[in-house]
Amino acid sequence: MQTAINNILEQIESVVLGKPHECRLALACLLAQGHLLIEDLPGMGKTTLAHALANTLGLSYQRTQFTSDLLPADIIGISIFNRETNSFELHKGPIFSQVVLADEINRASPKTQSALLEAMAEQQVSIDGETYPLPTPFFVIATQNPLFHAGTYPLPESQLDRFMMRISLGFPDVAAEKKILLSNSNSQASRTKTTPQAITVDELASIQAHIQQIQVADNVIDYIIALCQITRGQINSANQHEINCKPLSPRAGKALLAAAKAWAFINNRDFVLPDDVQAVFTAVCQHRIELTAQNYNDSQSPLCAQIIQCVDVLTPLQS
Amino acid sequence: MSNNIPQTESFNLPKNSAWLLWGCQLVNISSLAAELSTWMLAILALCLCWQALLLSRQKTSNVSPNVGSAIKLHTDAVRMSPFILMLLAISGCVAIAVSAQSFGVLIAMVHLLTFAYALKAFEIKKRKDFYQHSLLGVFLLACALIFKQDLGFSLFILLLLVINLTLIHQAFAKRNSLFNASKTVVILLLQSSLLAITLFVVFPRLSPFWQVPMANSAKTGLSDVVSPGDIANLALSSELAFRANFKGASIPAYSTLYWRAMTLENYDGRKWTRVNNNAQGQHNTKAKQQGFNPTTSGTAISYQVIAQPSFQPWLFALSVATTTDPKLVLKQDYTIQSTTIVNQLKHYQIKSYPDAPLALSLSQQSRQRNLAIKPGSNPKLEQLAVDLKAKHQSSLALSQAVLTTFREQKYYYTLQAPMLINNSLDQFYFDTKAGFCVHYASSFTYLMRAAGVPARVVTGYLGGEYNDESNDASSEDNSSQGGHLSIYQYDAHAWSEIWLEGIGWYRVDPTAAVDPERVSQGWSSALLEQQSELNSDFISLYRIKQLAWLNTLRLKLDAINYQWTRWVLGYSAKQQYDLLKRWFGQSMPWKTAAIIAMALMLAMAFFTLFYWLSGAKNSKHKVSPAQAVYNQCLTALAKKGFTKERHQTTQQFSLVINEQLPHLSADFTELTSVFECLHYQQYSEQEQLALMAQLAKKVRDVTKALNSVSTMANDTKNISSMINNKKYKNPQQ
Amino acid sequence: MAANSFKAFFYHRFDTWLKRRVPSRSHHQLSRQNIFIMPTKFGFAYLLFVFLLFLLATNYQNNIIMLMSYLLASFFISVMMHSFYNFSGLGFQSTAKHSGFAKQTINVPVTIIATKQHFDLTLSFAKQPKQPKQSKQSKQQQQKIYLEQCHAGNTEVVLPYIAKQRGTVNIGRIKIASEYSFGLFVSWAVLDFSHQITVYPQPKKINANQYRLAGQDSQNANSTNYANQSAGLDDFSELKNYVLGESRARIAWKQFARGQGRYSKHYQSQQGSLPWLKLSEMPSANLESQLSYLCYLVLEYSHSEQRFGLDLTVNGHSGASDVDKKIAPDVGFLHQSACLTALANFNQWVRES
Repeated sequence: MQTAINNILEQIESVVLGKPHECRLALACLLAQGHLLIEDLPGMGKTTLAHALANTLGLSYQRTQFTSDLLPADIIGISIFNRETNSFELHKGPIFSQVVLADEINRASPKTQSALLEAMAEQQVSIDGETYPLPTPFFVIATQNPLFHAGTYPLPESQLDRFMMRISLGFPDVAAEKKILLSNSNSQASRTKTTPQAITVDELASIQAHIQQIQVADNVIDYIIALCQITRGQINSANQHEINCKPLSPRAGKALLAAAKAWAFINNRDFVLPDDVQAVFTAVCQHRIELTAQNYNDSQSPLCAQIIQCVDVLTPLQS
Repeated sequence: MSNNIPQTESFNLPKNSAWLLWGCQLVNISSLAAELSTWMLAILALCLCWQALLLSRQKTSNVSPNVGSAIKLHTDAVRMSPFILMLLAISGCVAIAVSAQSFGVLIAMVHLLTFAYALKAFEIKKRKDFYQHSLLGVFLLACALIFKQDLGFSLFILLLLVINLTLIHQAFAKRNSLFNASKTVVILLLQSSLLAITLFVVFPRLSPFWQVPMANSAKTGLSDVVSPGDIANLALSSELAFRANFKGASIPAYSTLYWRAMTLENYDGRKWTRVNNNAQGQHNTKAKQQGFNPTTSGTAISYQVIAQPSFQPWLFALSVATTTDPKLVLKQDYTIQSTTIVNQLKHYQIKSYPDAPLALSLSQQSRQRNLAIKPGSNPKLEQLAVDLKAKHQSSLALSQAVLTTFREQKYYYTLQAPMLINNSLDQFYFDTKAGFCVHYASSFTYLMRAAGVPARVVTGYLGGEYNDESNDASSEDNSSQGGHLSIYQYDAHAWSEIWLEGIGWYRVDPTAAVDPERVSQGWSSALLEQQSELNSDFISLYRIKQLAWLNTLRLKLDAINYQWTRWVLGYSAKQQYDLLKRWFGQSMPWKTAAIIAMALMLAMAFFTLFYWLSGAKNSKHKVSPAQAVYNQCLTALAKKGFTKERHQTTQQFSLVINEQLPHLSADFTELTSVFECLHYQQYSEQEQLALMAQLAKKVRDVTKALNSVSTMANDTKNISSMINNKKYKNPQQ
Repeated sequence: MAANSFKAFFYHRFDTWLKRRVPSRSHHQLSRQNIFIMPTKFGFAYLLFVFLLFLLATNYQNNIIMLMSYLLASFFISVMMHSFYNFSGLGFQSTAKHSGFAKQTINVPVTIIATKQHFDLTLSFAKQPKQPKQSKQSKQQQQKIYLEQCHAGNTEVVLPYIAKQRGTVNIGRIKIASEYSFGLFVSWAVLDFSHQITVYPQPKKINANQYRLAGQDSQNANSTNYANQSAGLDDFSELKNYVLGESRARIAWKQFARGQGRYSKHYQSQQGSLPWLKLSEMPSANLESQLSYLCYLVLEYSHSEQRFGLDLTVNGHSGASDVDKKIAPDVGFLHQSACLTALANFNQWVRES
C-alpha cells in the first residue's frame, strides 16, 4: 500500500508543482473521507489539483462553476419531460460523480450552497420525492476566493464545519514557477493525459478502511481533546486566555483524529503520533476557529501555533 | 445543586439540628443536675418541655427553597413573646437571689447560668445568638467538672462536648448527617489531643488569680461529735474516703494501719467531742518543735494520701506524722488538719514514724481533761474502775484486764447494736454487750478515766483495701507492692489512747479483743452480710466480693480511677516542675516555650500529613512507566541545558538533539523510537517488557554519553584554548 | 482627605501584591498560594471563651477543666487546618469575556471542579458596583451565591451582575469564601479570571417611521455595490426567448407543452440596497439614547437575518477613540456581536467597576 501512496503523491506533485505539503494534505483529506476546501486567488492551480487527484485515484470527476444565478437543481439534477416517452426522466446533476469540484462556491447564493452542503452531509439527494444515493467514495473539493470580493456569499460557520480541511496553495517558488511557465500544459486535455490512474477504487476503499483501523494511543486522544479544550477555554494554561477563537466542536475533534490517522498512514506508520496531529491541525481547525476571516495565505497561522504551544505533548490533560 | 438564595440575616436551623439543640440542652443541664435544687430542675424541665412542644408543632415552612428536600426550615418555631420571656427571667432571678444565701455563691451562680441557658434557647434569632448559646452550654459542662472529676464523669463530659461541637458543626453543614458530623468532630478532637496533652504537661501552672467561691456541699465522713452508734451508721457507706500510696515500699501490716483523724477528749456523758480552742491548736512551728525524733527511734514511712472531698478539715495519717506541706497544720494531738476545708481532692505527702512515741509529757491541763468524767453517769463502770484500780498496779495491766473481759466474755461486735437509753455505757457494758467500735472505745475510755488513767477516744480509719491492679510493671522484687490502698467509709473506726508514764499516748483498740479479724484483716463475712442487708447500695460490696470476676473488675476500675486521680487531677505545679526538671534540666521558661512551639509545629505537621494522605488518594497524576523513564532522560538533558518544550513532540526534540549533540544522535534517536513504540502503540506484555528494558538501557547509554560528552567538551575546550595560547605564543613565521 | 489617600495607597499596595501572588488565569486551583484564612468574630469570641475556661481552671486549681481548655485551644488549631483543607483543592474555571445589556442581569458562569465534598461556599464579586445609598433591605440582597454543599465533580454556578452603564468593564476578582467548620474561621480567596464584561446599551424601541435608513433612496451610487434588481433566484421576473445554451432547468415547460414557444424563466431577487445604520441619523439629542436606538435596530436586523452595516462617525469625521467607527455590512452572529461591541465601546475607555 505504501508504494501506491508514493505513486499517487509523485503523480500529483508532478502536476501541481512546488507544493508537496499541500498535496499531502489534500490526499490525507481524501483518504480520511473528508471534504476539502481550497481557498486561493484565481489561477493558483486549484482545478489542477482537484483534477489530478480524481484522475490518480481513478474516480469520476465533474467540475461545476458556481455562479450567482446557479440553481440548486443545476447541481442536483432535474426531471425532464421526455416527449417521446411521455414521462419524466431524471437527468442527474454534476453532484453524481465521485469527485465534485465546486469552483468558487462562495459565488452561489446561499440556497444553492446549502443544496450542495446538505448533499455532502447526507450522502444522498432527493429529487421529486425520491432519494438517490450519492456514489462512494464521494468527495467534494470546493474552492473559494479568499478576499471579500464583490458578489460573494461567504459560507456560514456551521457549513464550514463540514469541510474537514481548508488548505491554500499559494504562490509557487521560483523553480516551480519556472517549470510551470515552461510547460505546455495549457489545455484541459493535456492535463488529463499526464495523470494516469495509480490505484483502483477497491484499493482506495481498502486503504480508507485500513486508515480507520490505525491504532491511536490514549495519549494522542488526550492530546486532541486538550487542543480542543484550549479553544473552548476549558483547560488551565498560563497564557491561555490570550487566545481568542471560536470553540472547536467534537465533530472537529473527530475530523482532526481522522486526518491525523491519514497523515500517519501517508508517512508510512501504523500508529498515530502527536506530530501527525500537529501537522494537520492548522488545515483542519483554522477555518473553524478563526473569529474573522483571515487573509489566509500563511501555511501556519499564528493562532494555531499559539494553541499548540499551550499543550504539553507528554501530559496533555494536566498542566 | 446550588442554592441561589442569598443569605439573609436571620438564623435558621433545619429540623434535625433544632432537635439536636434541644437534646444538647438536655444533656448539658443533666450534667449539672446533681448540684441544682429541685425547684430549679422543675423550671428547667418545664422550659425544655415547652420547647419540645413548639418544635414538634412546627409545620413545613413555605419559604423552603428546595422543592423535594426533606429538610424543613426551622423558622420562628421556638419563639415566645418577649414579654413572657422577660417576666420569666425576672422571676427566676429573684428566686435565685432569694435562695442564694442557703446555696452559697457558687451554686447560685450555677443556677443562674443554667437558667439563662434554658431561656436563651427561646431567643435565638441571629447567628451570634446561637454562638453565645453554644458557648454557654460548653461553659456549663466545664462548671460540672468543678464538682465531680473522676474518670467516668470526665469521659461523660467529653461525650457531651462532642455533642455540643457537633451541634455547632451542623449549623454550617446542614445537609451532613449527624453521624458524619460527629465523626468529623471526633477526628478533630483526636487530632487536637496531642497538642492538648503536651500543653497540659508542659504549660506552666499558675496559682489562682483571685479567690473564687467554693463549693459548699454537705459534709461527709467523720464528724467531731461522736456518740455510740454514729460510726456504725457511717460504716454503711461504701464511699471512698481516701487513698494512700506507699510508692513501692512495703505496706505496713493491716493491723498497724490506724489512720488518725481526730482525738475526742471531751465527754459530757453522752457524746465525745473535740477540744477546739486556740490553746490546743497551736501554730505550725511550735508543733513541729515538739518531740519528733524519727532517726533514732524508728524507721520512717513515706506515703502519699489523696483525700476525697469531705467538706471538713480533717486529714488522715499514721502516727507519728510529719509533713512539709504548707497547707497542712500539725496539731498538738498528733492529728493533721488542712488549712482550708477539703472541698476538692487533696493530695499530700506524709512521713510517719510509727515507732516514735506521742507526747512523752502531759500537761496538767491536758491530764485533767483526759481524766474528766461525769460522775454518776455510769455508776457501775465507775465502781468497776475502782475495783480494777485496786487489783492492778500498772495502768497497762489495768487496760489488759479490761481487754481480757471483752475477749473472754460474750461480747459481740455488730452493726445493729441495740439502742442505749441515754447513751448509757453501763447498759452496754453490763447488759447488752453488743455494739460497734464506738461502744467499746467509749466504754473502755470511760473505764480508764474512772480508773485514773488519762484516756481519750480517737477516731479515724482502720486498714484499707490493697489494690494491686495499678502495680507498675517496673517493680523489681516481689516484696515491693506498687499498688495502693483504698480506704472506704466503712473502714471508719474509733479506738482509744491511754497515757502511760514513759511511753506517752499508747493506742489500745478494744475492737481487737472483741473481733480480732476486724483488726487484722478487715470485716468478717458476717459483718459484710449484715452491712449488705442494711445499706441501700444497689449491689452491695458483699455480693461483689463474692464474685471473683466482678471483684477484679471493681478493683481494676478503682485502679484506673486512682491513676487518673494521681496523674491527671493531681498534676500540680510542683509535680510539673519535678517532671520537667527530670527531663529537661534547668532553665525552665525557655525550654517550656520551645517545647510548646515544637508541639505546635508537630501538631500542624501531623495534620498536614493526615490531609495530604487523604488527599493523595484522590490524586490522578499517574505516569506510565515508559514515560517515567523518558522523563528521567529529559531531566538529565535539561541539567545540561537541553530542555524539551512542552509542545515539542518527541520526534521534534530528537531532531534538535541530533543537531546539537551529534554524539548522542544515534542513541537518542533509537531511544525516541522505542519510547514512541511504547507510548503510542499497543503491545503484548512480553513485548512491552522487552521494550522497557531496551528503553532503560538506551537511557543509561544516553546519560553516560551525555556525561562523557560534557567532559569531552571540557577537554576539547581546554585543548583548543591551549592551542590558541600556543598560537599566540608562537606566531607563525 | 489624607485618610482617603492613605486608604487608597494601602489598597493599591495590597492590589499589586495580590496581582503578583494570584495572577489572572482562566482556571484557578485553590492552594496555599491563594487562600487566606482568618478567625471570624466568633473565632475571637471562642478564644476569649477558652481563656475564660483557663482562668476558671486556674482559680479552682482544677486540672480537668484545664485539660478541657487546652483541648479546646488545640481544637481551634485543628479546625483551622480542617477549614483550610475543606477549602483547598477546589478548582474554579470561568471564561474571561461576557456580554450583556445594560440594566439587565448578566450572568457570569463559574464552573466549580471538585474532587471531594466541600461545604459552605459563598461566591460573590470582590468589588461591588457602586450603588447609591439604599435601604437596608436592598443592601442585604448582595449578589452572592451560596452553596451549601458541593459534591465531587463539576458544578456550575452563575453569578449575576447588573450593569448600570454601557461600556467594557473589568469587574475585578471573584471572592470565594467559606465559613465551614464551626464558624471559627473564614477562608477566602480572591481569584482573578480577567473577567471583562462588555455591556451593550439598553435597546430602546424605535419606530420605522422615525428614521430612514441611509441608502434606501440611493442617491449615492458609489456607496452601494449592488443593483437594485439583480439576477437572483427568488421572484419570477419575466420570460425571455430561449437562447441555445441556457440551462435546461430554466426552460418554461408549461409554455412549451402548450406550444407557445420556447422560453426560459428569469428570476430576480429583490436585493435591497445595503442599509447602513448611522449614528448621525438617530432621532435624539442624547448620545446614549441614540446608541440605544441603534442597539435595538442592530438586534432587529440580525434577528431577521438582513445584512446591514454600522456607521458610527459623527458629523462625517471620526472621533479620537480607537474603536472602529464603521463596520462593513455582513450578516451573522459574529457581525451582530461586533456591532454591539462597537456600540458598547463608543467613546468609552475600559472601566474598572
